[in-house]
Amino acid sequence: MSDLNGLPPDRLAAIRFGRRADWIITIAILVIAVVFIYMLQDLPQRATFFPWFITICVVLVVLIYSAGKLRDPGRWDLQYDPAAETAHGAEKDTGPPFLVPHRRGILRAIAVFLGVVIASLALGPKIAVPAFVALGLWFNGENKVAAVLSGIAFWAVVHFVFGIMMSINLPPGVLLELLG
Amino acid sequence: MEELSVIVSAFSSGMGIVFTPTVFGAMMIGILAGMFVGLIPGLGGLVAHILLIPFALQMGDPLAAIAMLLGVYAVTVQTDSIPAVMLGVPGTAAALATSLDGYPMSKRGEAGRALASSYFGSIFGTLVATVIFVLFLPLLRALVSNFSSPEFFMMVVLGLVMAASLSGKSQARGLLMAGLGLMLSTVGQAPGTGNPRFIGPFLYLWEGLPIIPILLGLFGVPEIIDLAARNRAIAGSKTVEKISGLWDGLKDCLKNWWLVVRCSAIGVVTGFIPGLGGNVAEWMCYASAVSGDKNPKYQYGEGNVRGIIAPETGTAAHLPGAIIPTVAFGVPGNPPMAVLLGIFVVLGVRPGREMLTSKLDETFMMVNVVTVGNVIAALLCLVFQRWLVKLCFVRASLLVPFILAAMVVGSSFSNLSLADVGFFAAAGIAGYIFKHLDWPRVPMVMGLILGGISEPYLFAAWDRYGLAWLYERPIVLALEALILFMLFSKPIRRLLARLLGSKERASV
Repeated sequence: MSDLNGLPPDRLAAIRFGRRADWIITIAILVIAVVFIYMLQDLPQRATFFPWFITICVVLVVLIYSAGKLRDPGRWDLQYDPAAETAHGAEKDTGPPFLVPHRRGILRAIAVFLGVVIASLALGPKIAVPAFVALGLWFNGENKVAAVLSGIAFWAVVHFVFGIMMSINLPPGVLLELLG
Repeated sequence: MEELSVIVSAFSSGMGIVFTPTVFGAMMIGILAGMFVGLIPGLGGLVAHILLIPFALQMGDPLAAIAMLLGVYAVTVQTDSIPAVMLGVPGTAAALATSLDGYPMSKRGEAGRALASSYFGSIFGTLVATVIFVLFLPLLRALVSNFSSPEFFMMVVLGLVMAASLSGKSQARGLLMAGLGLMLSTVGQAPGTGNPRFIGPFLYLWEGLPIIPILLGLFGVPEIIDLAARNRAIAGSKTVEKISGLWDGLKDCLKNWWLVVRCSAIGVVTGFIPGLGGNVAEWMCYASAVSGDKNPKYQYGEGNVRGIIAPETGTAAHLPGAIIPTVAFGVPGNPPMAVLLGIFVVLGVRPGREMLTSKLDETFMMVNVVTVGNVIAALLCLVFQRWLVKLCFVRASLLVPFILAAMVVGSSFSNLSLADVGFFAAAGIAGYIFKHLDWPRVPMVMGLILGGISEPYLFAAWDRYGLAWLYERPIVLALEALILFMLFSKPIRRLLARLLGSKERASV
């Protein structure tokens, strides 16, 4: 797919985005390998044998893959298959996620995901997660009473079933620890 | 004769373990959870499998935990055919072929027949696969008894190369992901010396990267983000056809017994090969059904019942088939098995020779859980299919908060540390990028899990044989030949095609 002429703009943008992202992933793997090789220097030989073997192999594959990409940048362009990705083929995709028709929904979903994670880190999963259940249902238009009850039920399961019955105490959040 | 009595005794002992209250109860929880989560639009069996891991690990009984996860594994091949047949929308990629003939049959008023043939096809598939497993067990035991650390190490390398070559569309990307997984597996205490590697000031990493949050993030989060982004039910506004003709499905399976046996064998073989998922087994079986039917009453794709029996039998037989390399060689046959192997590591169950000798009953327990679980799931599906299909109409907005919440809580069970949540988030974002940019995640997870298993093998081989193990042992040499074939067959084929193409152009 080296010839990009005649493609619709959204597909073209998807291909360009895909190629850039591909390079970023490749370079990131290479950087990890190089950092690992650097960090191996202080270790005794016996502990470094296996990591050396792996990292050298990874560096070699990165070089071969990069050479292939430089020679024919479009070789992997048509590899993206929305039917296989979505399993039921019901969605019409044009390429990487930021360019699909529902990209706003994707960005919102990622933001919500990161929000839950940050809240869990700050307040602890035991408080943040039930609150997320309640708010998630509330803002998605479900019955408000049912949303609040669901959040309380989720907290009760975490507290009584996991915490008291099974003695699994979830970690408190950073913010709560700072506040004592 | 002695070999046979050992196998029969282990089989019955394994069956006995399945029916102990804790193991059977755990399996039933797995089956029920798999039925519901597996049916949820866009999630499928692997997510159900991963979601249950943190909870299974808290059970305290390794066999019960494994039974719970295998219960999920067994049931999803049954439930994914319900939306495929009733609505023409396969719940997972592995039910795509089933929907081709299942939905036209459903529209013709034969939904019950189509579903029953799918359920009974699955049951017969796992039963025949179990028989094949038992028949090949003496051979497998003889083979494994000749294995030592060099052979086990090369098996792990072969498994990784196969998964890297077969699970994605680009072999180089697969190899890079496997390499990344292997590199990450070296984080933590070095086996043999005890030196901490790559942990910096973080004592949390002393025992290595946390596998459970990474699995939840890599495989669960991308599906949840996609589900939330689309924010609708898989079924949309489709109508459910009437269910009738259940017994005809059983008769169809019995009438097409040779197809069932053939597809079971294909399923077992594809299960055995790392990287070939259930969907490969499905399409190979579908092709086998089409090629073996010269004068079909209904054309394939227009409601031919053999087009349902073949893929369903193959995908079901694939399940026990994938257990064999996982327990015998520590090389998982498919993604759920890779995940299960990670759980083996956490639970202290060591794959290898022991699993086919002193712990053969536990291996049979696993195979029997899949078989018994499949039968129970088929019966439950037969009874409750009318209600189960309604799950396909549940809105994503209702499901996402609960599933994501379960994932966050489950991820923090690993070390009961906030760092678990951090790893879960990082793996989730990475998994989403990998999924949509077509970088296969399975080789990475396999590398992450197999790295810890293979490093001691490499040490032992090196200590005992120096470099001689690489060229003096026949099994190692055979495995090396296979690895080289897997690595270079594609590039050589491509090169030959290019050379032949340029010659043809020159002659024109």
